Amino acid sequence: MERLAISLLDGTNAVLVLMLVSLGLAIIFGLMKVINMAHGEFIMLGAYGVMALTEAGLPFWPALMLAPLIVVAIGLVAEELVIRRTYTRLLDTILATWGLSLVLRQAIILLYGPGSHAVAAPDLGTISLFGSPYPAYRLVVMGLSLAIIAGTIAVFFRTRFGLAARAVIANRDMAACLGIDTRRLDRFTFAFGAGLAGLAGAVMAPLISIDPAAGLGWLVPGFLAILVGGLGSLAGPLAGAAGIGGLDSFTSTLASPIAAQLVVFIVAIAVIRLRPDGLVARRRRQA
Amino acid sequence: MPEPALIIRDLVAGYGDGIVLDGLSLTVGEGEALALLGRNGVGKTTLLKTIMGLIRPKSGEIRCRDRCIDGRPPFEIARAGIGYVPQGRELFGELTVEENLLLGNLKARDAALAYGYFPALAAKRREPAGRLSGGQQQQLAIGRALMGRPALLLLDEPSEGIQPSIVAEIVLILRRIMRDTGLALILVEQNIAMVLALCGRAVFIDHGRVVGEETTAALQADPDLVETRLTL
Amino acid sequence: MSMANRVALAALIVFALLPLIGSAGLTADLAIYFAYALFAVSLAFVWGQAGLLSLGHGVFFGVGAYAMSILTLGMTPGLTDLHSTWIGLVGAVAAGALAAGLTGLLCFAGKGLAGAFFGVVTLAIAFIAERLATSSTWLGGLNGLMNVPPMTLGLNGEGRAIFDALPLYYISLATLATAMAGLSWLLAGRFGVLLAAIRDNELRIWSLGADVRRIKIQAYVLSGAVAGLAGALFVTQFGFASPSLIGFSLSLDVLIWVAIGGRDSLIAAALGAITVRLLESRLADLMGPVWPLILGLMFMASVIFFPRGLFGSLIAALERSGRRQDS
Repeated sequence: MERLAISLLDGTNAVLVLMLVSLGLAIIFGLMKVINMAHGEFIMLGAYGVMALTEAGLPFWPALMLAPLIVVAIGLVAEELVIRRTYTRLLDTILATWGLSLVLRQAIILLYGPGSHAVAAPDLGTISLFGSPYPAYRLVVMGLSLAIIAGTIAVFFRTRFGLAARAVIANRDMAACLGIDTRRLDRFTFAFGAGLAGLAGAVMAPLISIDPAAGLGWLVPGFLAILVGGLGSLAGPLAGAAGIGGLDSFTSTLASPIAAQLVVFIVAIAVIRLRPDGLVARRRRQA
Repeated sequence: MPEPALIIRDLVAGYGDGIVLDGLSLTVGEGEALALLGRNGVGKTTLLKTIMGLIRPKSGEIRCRDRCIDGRPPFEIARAGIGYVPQGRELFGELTVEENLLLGNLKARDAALAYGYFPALAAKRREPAGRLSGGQQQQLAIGRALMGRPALLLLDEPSEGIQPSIVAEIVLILRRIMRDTGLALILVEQNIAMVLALCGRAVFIDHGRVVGEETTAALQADPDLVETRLTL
Repeated sequence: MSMANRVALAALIVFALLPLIGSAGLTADLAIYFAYALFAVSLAFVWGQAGLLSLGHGVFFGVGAYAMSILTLGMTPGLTDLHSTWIGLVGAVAAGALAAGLTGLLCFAGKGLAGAFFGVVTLAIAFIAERLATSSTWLGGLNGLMNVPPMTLGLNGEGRAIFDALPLYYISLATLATAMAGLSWLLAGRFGVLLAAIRDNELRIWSLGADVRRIKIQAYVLSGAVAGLAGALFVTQFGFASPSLIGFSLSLDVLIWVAIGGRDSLIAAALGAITVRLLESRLADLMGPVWPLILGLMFMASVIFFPRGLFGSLIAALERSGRRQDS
């Protein structure tokens, strides 16, 4: 019984972080029509950031807050140098960001070597849940993820900035004709997406094996979540992440991680084939 | 001497390598309502899109209130004082009426400006724009463009798909706005009645340039004049 | 004759004569690089000609390599006496074609996966395929299958074995040249016109009366077959097949070769692969761990600034100067 509860909690943890990842990817794609193949590396940079900062002497919580900002800065540079120059050619942005992903990975290897590293979780003790001790830090991670997701939704639907973003997503040209600076919005959006990824990585840093190649393990599920959930609204990527993450956790515990990958992939493709617009498809109303 | 709302000189523009506008020149005076007439495909919509910056001119000059706007991105042109109501309206169908209006001016405190001119919209402020009737959508599109307090409004086929009584209503509101604010207008329209009611002058476009000009008084006096001008 | 074909012919002559002046080491290296070049050609075929960006193309190369290994190592279930090079080659081509066909059926159905996301799905496939190969004990797990025999001329593993550099070089070159000639011939005909229509604007293709989905699958299957052949050619020289041949790192490599060389013509892609591998073999030791970073930057630079690739730009420049001379 306790094992089931622990599995459920761990699974929820994984789902929430996957939601952060998918949300970032979806926002960047929805607004800029850019498929950010470097998203996994942004996540890893968040984790490496926490590692580097804590090794430099910074306490854990300030490191956690600073690391995503470093990723935001890297994202802004990438947007200016790479995305800006290729985003009229859709397939080439995929290649350019894929190249960026390679460059970032190699840079990390040059700085920290190809092996894996670890960051110690802050000692928050454990909380007794369902009769067994559960690390409090993991609960903090879940809480933070929920808060950030809620915050993102709030920004999108309750601020003027979010309104502008939704307009650009719906009809970029018309939004520009109304005086919305779409290029500046692009920059903010990419930085925001990168920040979300960096935050996901930073928050997960004590819980994962920090190595240069781990980014891909987040990129593929992230994209599958978007494809399954649909891109018509913010709910799509969240629902997709819940489905993919949940299925992955479930199959992983029941069978094995490799079986989980296979099952998730097959189910994802099946869903996409049956409902090409995703599970949470909204009929677009053109006016 | 008040600054003209728009001066276009020898504009050359088109899609890709093609040329649609071939040395077009015209002037819109401050507070003037100008009609663009011509057969389908001669470049009227292309002209509006080029003024708005959606198409980059290959050569030529566009000035709005003595500011050079050719080659600028659309958002700068909008902020320079040009409002755009495109063919098909291009509303954000999933967003509410209020949200559509606020997008016209993100710095505005509220949409009272637009509601003042189009009171029918106020009652529907929380409705998704896609659910409005054709006439209401047109009013919303115009109201949205007006939120930015433009000096010049570009209207592309506003009467398309709308019943004549609503068109007449819109004409009255536009005349009122022009009187109150000195708004200038470029109107691309097939509906000659609307042209005659709203505009003082019409230019005829063919082969990518202006081939003729008439006052609407002259057009009113001679109903065949439009046909003749268009087929020459 | 098109400029690309002229360049290809010139390159063929140069490579045919190269062993006479080059070192033995260079000959042996190039023999393997021709297999990589063939792989690059298979990618350029679907990407440059049909507009299908496959981010996980390594799967077909790896599947061909594994098939060749299994069939020549006597590992075929129930047919442990089978060591035939010829059957291995056929098997590799078939395996590559089959894998590509399945992928195509998966991705190009109905509404089809929007071009951009197609790439991500192929990447996911490569990712999973590599994991599967690594965890399969029959396939040798992480180490893969070793001691893959060299090509033998006999019907079933007997006869003359070919492991000298010179004959391998010419066999490799001949395979590459023949495959390229075959694909170029296809592209020069109606199939090429259809692929170009798909790449540039799918709407136009309805007027040509063709089934878009079927053509995409055909092109992809052909590409998979060629990639499988390349994998087989590779593994008979290299001697072992490992999961890294299936997975995403080789997929990324071939993408880099084609991007740097040029996606628009088969010869540009082939020359890109050979050039990058040559550079790598000379510079990688010199530069150590900085080399992959440099390569990544070269890749990004070519995507951003030289979308036609090095050799693609060269061919285009030659075309332009040729036209100026005519007029």
